[in-house]
Amino acid sequence: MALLRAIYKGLDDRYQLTPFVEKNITRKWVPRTLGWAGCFGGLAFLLFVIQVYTGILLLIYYKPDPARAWDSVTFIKSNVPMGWLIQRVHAVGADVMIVLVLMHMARIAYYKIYRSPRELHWLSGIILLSLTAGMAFTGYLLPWTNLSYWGASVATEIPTAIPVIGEQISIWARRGPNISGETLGFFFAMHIWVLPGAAVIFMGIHFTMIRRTGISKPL
Amino acid sequence: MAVDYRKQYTPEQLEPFWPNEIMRMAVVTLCTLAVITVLAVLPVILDHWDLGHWIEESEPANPRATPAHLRPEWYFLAAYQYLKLPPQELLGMSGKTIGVLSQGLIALAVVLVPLWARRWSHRPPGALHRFLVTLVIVLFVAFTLWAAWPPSIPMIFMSCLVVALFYVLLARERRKIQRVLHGPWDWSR
Repeated sequence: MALLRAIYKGLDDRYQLTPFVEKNITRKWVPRTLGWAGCFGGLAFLLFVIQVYTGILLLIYYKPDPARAWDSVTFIKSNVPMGWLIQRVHAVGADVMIVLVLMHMARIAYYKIYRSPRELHWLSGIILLSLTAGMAFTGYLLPWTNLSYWGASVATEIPTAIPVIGEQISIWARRGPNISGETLGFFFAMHIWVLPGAAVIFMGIHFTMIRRTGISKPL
Repeated sequence: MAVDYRKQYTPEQLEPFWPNEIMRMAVVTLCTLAVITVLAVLPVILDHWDLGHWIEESEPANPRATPAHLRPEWYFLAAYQYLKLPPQELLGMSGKTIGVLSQGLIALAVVLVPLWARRWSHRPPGALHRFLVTLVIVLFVAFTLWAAWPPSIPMIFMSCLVVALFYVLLARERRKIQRVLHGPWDWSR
């Protein structure tokens, strides 16, 4: 304890931490009106952190190659110590994250919190919902099971119904006329880097805007 | 940078962030971790004890063998079922095109929801609005179960649990808002 105190004092002398801590934590006052339903958004963020953490662990053994993807996931599930648990938590975490994002969105809609001056909070939230759905969709193909292969095949077929540009969208998403190794590499890059990176940026925007406007006062 | 809530609320309507709010965060975080752990581990244990078949055996992708029961993950089921609604051919367009395009319009309508509200309106959401939100939730769950028809018992159980949890927490929160901002309900008015 004395050591921690000394470290804190050293840092405080140099960077003036105390006013910052007082303003944001110890002397901060928040409305009593928030109930347990107010935590869905924060919990969705917690799930994102869990997904990143378990995702990093899975990445150590996963191979984004059609010839080895299924084997590597099977290896994680049966040979890597606690690998089955990490894989299960990552799979279940995606479901729980989507449930929490939808519940957060439903609560915001229910109280009309999206009204002015918070329209852009809503817009960034919709983008985050799309990114979450995108991460779930791209992640589903990665184990390269027969179900995920055909699921991705049917889903990337859907845009072809759009007139004029539909065909191009489908070919773009598949990196060719069919689901192949190219698709797996594309979905892998999207899943581990592009979509989560975009999600981090939009979460930063989302949280900063909420801090600037404050949470809405219920009516 | 951050908003000072002391300007918007009376002292009685506020509480300290530390430790009250932090404690609540810790509680919901631990509860969520417990829920994820149970959802991740329970099917494995039940399978291990031969109490039903919970985790599907996966087989490697085979471009020549379409699986018999092909359907998307649960969160895309409602949208998937919606695409099946339009007839094969309508107004000279294929049903698929109408389905996808109208889905785009619905998405656009959701994005533009804030513009429907009157600017700086300070009226609480009315009964019609609350009914519409509930209708959207009910339709989403109904379409999801419809696409999975016949839905499995765990699926029905989980969807009922999530919707019930949402409305119970919402009702409690509304009562809390009423109590904090307007005092106990006055039955004589």
